Amino acid sequence: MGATFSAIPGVRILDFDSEVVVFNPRSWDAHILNSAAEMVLGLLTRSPRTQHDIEVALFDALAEEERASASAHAERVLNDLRSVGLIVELGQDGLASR
Amino acid sequence: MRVAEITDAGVRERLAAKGLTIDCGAAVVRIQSDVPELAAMLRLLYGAFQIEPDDVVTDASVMLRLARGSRRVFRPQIELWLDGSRPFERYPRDTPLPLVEWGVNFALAKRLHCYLLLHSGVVEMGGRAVVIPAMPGSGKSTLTVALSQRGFRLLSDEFGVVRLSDSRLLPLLRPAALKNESIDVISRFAPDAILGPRFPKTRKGTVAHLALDASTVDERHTPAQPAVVVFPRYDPTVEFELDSVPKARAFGRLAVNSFNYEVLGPDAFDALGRLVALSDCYELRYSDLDRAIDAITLFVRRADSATTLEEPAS
Repeated sequence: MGATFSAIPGVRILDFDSEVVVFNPRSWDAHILNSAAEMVLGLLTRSPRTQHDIEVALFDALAEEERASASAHAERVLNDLRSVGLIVELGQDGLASR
Repeated sequence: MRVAEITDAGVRERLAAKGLTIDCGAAVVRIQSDVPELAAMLRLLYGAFQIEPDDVVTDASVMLRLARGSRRVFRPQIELWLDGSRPFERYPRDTPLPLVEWGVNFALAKRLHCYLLLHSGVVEMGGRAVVIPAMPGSGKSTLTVALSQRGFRLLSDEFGVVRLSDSRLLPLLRPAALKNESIDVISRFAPDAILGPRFPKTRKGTVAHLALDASTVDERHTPAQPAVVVFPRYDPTVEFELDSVPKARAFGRLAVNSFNYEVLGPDAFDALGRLVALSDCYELRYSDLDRAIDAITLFVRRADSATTLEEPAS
């Protein structure tokens, strides 16, 4: 099933048509997200999800010719979101891992 | 009483005593100085502004003083004091007005954190604001001033003052600073405009200031709803080119171009997000001022017909 991820609390999202701008309440940084990152962050804002959940969601959202790369795509998006601190990986106890 | 209603000598006396206190709209500013030639310059450029009582609380206090010491005879210098401290080295005496104006801008950018401050010109027509963000050399001041000479009301040539509660733009009125070629451009474009003296030796080249008229000053507390954001770039090789800017990108460019976005954090994010959501955003490359003004006028009218104005927040 892979690791479990969650959005950090208090993320603010501005939806501007094809792109969204999100506010990280911990760093006060703003980030522009593409539609895939927006979808993943939206899912993780609602509840924690496993990497497999994210892969499935992306698989459904991607065009047919892109579906083969859904797994790699999910990993890349999760890494990007984690690198800017918008999501965290959860440990077995459900708390953010260090 | 307006500044123009007292004499140069009267302005000089005020500057040397408790100062000249001016309500600029979003901020109240006090200027003190013992530099005698400054009085006539301020009287010309701030003539339409009301003089506020000496005991009014100010948002920025700027003092320009003749430097003491032996160098004053051979190479006269002046000192800029902001809110009681002197944060910079002394300056040559020959640019007192640009120094005061720059000092006021510096103080406001450092202090006015009850608002989101964008580095931009702002004009208004029919209650709709046009935000004109600046990059150096963009022609922001030229375009802002030119619009103010063609039916738009000037809110500021330097600060986009965004009210945090509703993202409306507030006036922060000061004499508009024109630099280098833009001085002659505006002189030709609006021959009746009142410009102050030219100062050729500033850090930004030659600078001159535009005096504001009484009707603009009298509207200094009337806000405007954001409607259009135009990122201008003066380009002598292009007569007129216009592109739409995606709102998320416009948000990023405005945030980077803000004086205090990082100070305000979530409040700035919300206020700027609201401003961008309410605005159509464009990038404009131009050398033909009239065409640029026609296009911006059209954008504002289009925004006017697309939505109705909300009641201003009390």
